[in-house]
Amino acid sequence: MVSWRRRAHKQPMVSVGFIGRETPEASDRLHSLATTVYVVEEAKVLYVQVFKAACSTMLWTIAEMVGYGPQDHPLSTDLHVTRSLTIHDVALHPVPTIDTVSPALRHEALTSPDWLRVAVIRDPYSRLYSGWESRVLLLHDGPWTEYPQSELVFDDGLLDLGQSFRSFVASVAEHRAIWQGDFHFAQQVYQLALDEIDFTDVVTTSDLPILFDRLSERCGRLLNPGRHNEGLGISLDDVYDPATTSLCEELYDQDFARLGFPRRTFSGPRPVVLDAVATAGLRLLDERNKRIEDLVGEIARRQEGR
Amino acid sequence: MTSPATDRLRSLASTVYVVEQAKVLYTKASKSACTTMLWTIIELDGLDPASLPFATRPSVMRSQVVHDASIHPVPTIDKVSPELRHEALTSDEWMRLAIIRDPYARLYSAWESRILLDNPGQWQSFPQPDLVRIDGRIDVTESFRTFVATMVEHRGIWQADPHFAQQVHVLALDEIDYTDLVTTSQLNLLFERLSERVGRPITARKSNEGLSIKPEQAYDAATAALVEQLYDLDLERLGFAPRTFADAPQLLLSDVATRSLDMVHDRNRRIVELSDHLRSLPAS
Repeated sequence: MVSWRRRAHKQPMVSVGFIGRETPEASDRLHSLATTVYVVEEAKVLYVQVFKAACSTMLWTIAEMVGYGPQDHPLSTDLHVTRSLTIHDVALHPVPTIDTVSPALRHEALTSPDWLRVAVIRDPYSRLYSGWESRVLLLHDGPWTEYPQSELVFDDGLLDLGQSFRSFVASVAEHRAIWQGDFHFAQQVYQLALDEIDFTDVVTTSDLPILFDRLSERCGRLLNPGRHNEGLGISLDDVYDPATTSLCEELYDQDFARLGFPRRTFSGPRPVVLDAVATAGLRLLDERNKRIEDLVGEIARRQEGR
Repeated sequence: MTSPATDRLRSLASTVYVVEQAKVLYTKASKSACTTMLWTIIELDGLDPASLPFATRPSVMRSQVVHDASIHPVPTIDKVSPELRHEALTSDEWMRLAIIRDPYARLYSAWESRILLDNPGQWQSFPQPDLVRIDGRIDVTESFRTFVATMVEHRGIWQADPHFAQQVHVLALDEIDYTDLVTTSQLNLLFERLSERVGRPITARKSNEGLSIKPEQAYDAATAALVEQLYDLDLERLGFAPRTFADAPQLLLSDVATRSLDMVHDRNRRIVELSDHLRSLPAS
């Protein structure tokens, strides 16, 4: 028989954040979040979504906690470029958000000692790079396309990924208010409403296996969400230089101060100029993104009878 | 000159376009600059390429929507009057045109777009080996060579698909009296002739669908010999010379390139599901 108990641990150690924190005086004072707070009533788990911190994986995980798998997930006609990402379509997600549950359930989720109140957080250096890669480099459409930003840098037709990222971070620092008004680039402490929710578990992405064990135990089934975030596998050491590191620390000062992430020194940067095939691959990716955008637009047009 | 041309075409219909205004008959040979030519004939017919209706089939790029025959504004030969068909096939005022491509390059290109990039289509259900990966990275040379060997084994299935068929068959070489069989390397000259013909500049639209890998990077002598079997008639009747390839060194894609292709595959699947849904909706 397969057990959901993968490891025995009483009080697992986590690198940053905390796990299994007692919150005897938890109170119902949440005002600043609504549609990013999921209430898994069956398992008594409240999950607060932090963008670019394993949020696709976590949305699939909480779906799995209520017995919902990829095979149950219908077609989403929202603008998402892969099927995996359509779990972000709140209209289809099987777990309700806190603005749609009863006042009594909301109160219980925010205050009861029987509930886990969970968030996943991510090292700000990694999260900023991932935000740039996924939004700017790999996606075609979104509000961020209108934000002020530097052009991608090409060297003899090849994408200079490292220089493109560093120029981007300088643009973000220059137009901080615009960029950090977007969830993908905002500081995590604000997305967590850290002063309004009494979290029991705030877990870094590197400690996700510990969280999955706890959630598996809670719902009585082995959770195996797999990986749902795509990435190019670029090492942070290769793209951060001291100036960019310093800008990241300014942009995410509250995340460093309040979430406990240590400041880092990177050994690079090293040249990260993509080869011709990788550069072409990204161009073909962008072409497909545009086509998806067209199809989604046409579906909306027809469904509205235009 | 191919006079006297006769009206004896039987084996093709929806791949033969009749550009009445320019008096050009164009036969599409898949993987031989056909995307470029399908856009060009719209321009040749004096039509606006931007006026194409929305393409619902699962084309993976905007440039490829022109392959959706249901929206292409230039009629195919099965849709025109018997008189126009006859004139197009027989008149010496008409240019009867096809683009042809070196079979080695064409097969590599078909493999790259259909298999390596996993563009959706019927070939996905044909017998084929998995892509060869080494430590997760795609080995292009080994993947291509293994594919060609499998294709030979299942030649009947693969060569029934126009992307992999011999060009002499998709062109109905014995049924159309062509005035111009132009290789892809001669396209510039063709565009000069087409511009002269319609009295305005006609420019080739580049669709940039490839990965910048040269066929020479994929072939070895054994695979080249298999191509010569698979495309024997193209070599014999279209005048392409057999080529000698040095055994290309292993082309192992970088980790970033491999990951980008895996993401391309994911997006293709999303395009298919959205396209399927769109086609299930009533047209407005």
